[in-house]
Amino acid sequence: MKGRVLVVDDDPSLGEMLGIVLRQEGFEPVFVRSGDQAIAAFHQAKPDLVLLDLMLPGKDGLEICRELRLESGVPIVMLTAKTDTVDVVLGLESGADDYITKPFSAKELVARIRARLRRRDTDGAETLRFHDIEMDVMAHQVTKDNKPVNLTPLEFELLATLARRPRQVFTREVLLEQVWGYRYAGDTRLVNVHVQRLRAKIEDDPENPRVVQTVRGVGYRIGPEGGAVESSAQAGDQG
Amino acid sequence: MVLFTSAIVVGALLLLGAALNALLAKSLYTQQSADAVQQVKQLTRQTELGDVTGFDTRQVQTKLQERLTSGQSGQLSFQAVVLYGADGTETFSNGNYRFRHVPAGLAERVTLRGELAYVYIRSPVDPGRMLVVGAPIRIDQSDVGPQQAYFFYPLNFQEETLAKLSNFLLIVGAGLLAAVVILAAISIGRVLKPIQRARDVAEEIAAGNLAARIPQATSQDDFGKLAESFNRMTDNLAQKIGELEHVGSLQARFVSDVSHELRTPLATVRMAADYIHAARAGLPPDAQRAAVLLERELERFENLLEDLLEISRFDAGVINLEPVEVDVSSLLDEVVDALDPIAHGRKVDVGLQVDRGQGQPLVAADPRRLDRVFSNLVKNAIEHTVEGGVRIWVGRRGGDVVVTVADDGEGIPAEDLPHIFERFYRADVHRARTLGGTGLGLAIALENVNLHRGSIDVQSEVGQGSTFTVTLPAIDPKPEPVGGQAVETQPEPAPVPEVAVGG
Repeated sequence: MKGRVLVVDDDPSLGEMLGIVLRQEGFEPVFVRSGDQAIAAFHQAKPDLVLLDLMLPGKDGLEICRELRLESGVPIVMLTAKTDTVDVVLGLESGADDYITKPFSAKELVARIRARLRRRDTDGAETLRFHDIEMDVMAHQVTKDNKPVNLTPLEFELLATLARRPRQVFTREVLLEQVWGYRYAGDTRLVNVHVQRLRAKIEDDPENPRVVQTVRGVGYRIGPEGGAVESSAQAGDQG
Repeated sequence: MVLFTSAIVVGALLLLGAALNALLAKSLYTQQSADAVQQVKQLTRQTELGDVTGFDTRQVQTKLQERLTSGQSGQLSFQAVVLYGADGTETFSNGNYRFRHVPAGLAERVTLRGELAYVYIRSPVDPGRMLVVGAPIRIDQSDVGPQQAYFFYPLNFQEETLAKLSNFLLIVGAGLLAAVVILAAISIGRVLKPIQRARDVAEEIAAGNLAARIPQATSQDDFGKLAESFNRMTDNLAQKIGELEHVGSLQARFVSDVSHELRTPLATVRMAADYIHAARAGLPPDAQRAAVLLERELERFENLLEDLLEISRFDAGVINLEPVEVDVSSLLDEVVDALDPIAHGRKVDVGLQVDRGQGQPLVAADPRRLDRVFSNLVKNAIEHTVEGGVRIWVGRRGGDVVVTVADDGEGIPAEDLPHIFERFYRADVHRARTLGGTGLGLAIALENVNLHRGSIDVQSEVGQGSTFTVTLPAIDPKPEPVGGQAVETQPEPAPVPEVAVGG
């Protein structure tokens, strides 16, 4: 698997070591040391994935994350030295797909990058329709009410995973395994934050979601269409 | 309090009343006797009788009687007068009194000493007491012999006055008492209320609210000053505690920062070590061994760093517990499964016994933290068991979920027992540390258990093995979600309220 990886990190040794590991695993690393140059480097290199340190001189990781998300769905994996709740959640809310906590092993790093670059094989033209949403899985396109919706590859994957088995409840652990590629327990906050980001794009009222519903104490599912639960609520919500 | 004050007041009033009564009685009677003596003197003075020259005995006697009885119509009136001759005959008596009513002592003083005297008697005829004044009478210009006159003054007026006065004193006393009681109650209330308020504030402060202050009393009395001093003291206390907390949080912050700063170079080292380790086949034998040691010790280093960071988070009080319902028995199942390779490698049997006799072992907890606690205890138990097994028991006991982890290890010496939850305390410094413990495991376990409002305890005897007991507050299972009602729109699972750790 060939993939270009933009490494945004101010620590030269770590950058170099990341380069060694990435090259050995067959990736093509591109480096940028300062947050201010990150966006320009992104435009120039057109990477398949961004490895982004949260703590950077100049523009910080969260800001870069937000700016990248404005123009691209490129997979972003954060490197973080902080495991305290707030930092990770902030990074994820800024648009990072996944994170990895320093210190990490080469194996862990590569596993996280591979999981984000992996493309699922689809058996020909697959189209998923539910509620007012249509997903063309092959073309990675989504429309809501026939209007295109811009989802990142991760959000697309998350929605498609749920939509392929409508009404089935997925636990966060199952979603972590199927969407993020965690074989062992991952951080369930990844799921929570990305479900919220997804809802913001596809729900009529993200505060009162009808498409991706929370099943309390269990997980998430695609809600039933036109059921008794919704018909009453929808009437009020949609105007 | 009010009762005590009232008793004092009643006592004082009674004393005062009695004294006042006695004083008034004395002055009243003294006044009376003085007036009576004055009157008697005047009536019996010979010159008052006028010229009796040429009067015969009868005439003199009549005049004397007229003269004496004239005093009866005055303001100070006696009820009767008795004239008694020296020859032992009663020559005159008016009213109900006779000479026999005159006390012998008085008659003797008047007769023998020839002086004016008086005495109080209980009246033998009328109710009440009487003042009897006796005086000798001598009429020189006549042949009338010396006589004695006895005047009986009633004391009704004085006694009535005294009775009225007593009643008056009683009424005034009762009124005064009532007033005092009311005033005492009011003033005690005025004193006690601020004290009660101060007590409430003190208790609030004791409960941890350092911002509590006694509302500033406007009064400049002792209580106002007390409130002021109290508030100043609390200010100082709060400031000192704030400074201490600041120092504490700076230190915790420092440890946390150090741990964070170490992570970036450590990430490089880790990857480099991985790389060398993976490529060690091409290295000379000693370098190969070095690569293996590097990799292994790096693991330990990382664990230590993780534990340090974890401890610093506890110290900084920044950990927020987001508890969910956890079945401790299935959590223990996973713990045992995960540690199976280690147990197998050391040929130690690990048995898990679940007792559901008193209900499900459910707790509200962060499963990852609980996992850490039990992984640590079970791992320790496996490590310490030389021969035999590890027995885990879980069940409910009343309102708690209890987990015991017992091993067949060498046991912990009594002198070490109180210290084993301390940081970096090693019960046996000589023991091989094949499992690479950091020395913080039990300290973190204790913090985690405390975070869940539970307790952890150990019983051990050398040669008998050790038993760790973890007690956590149990919760009751939620009713099973039914159908569509289970669907809720909240993004986060939050079945139990959040618990924050204090710093």
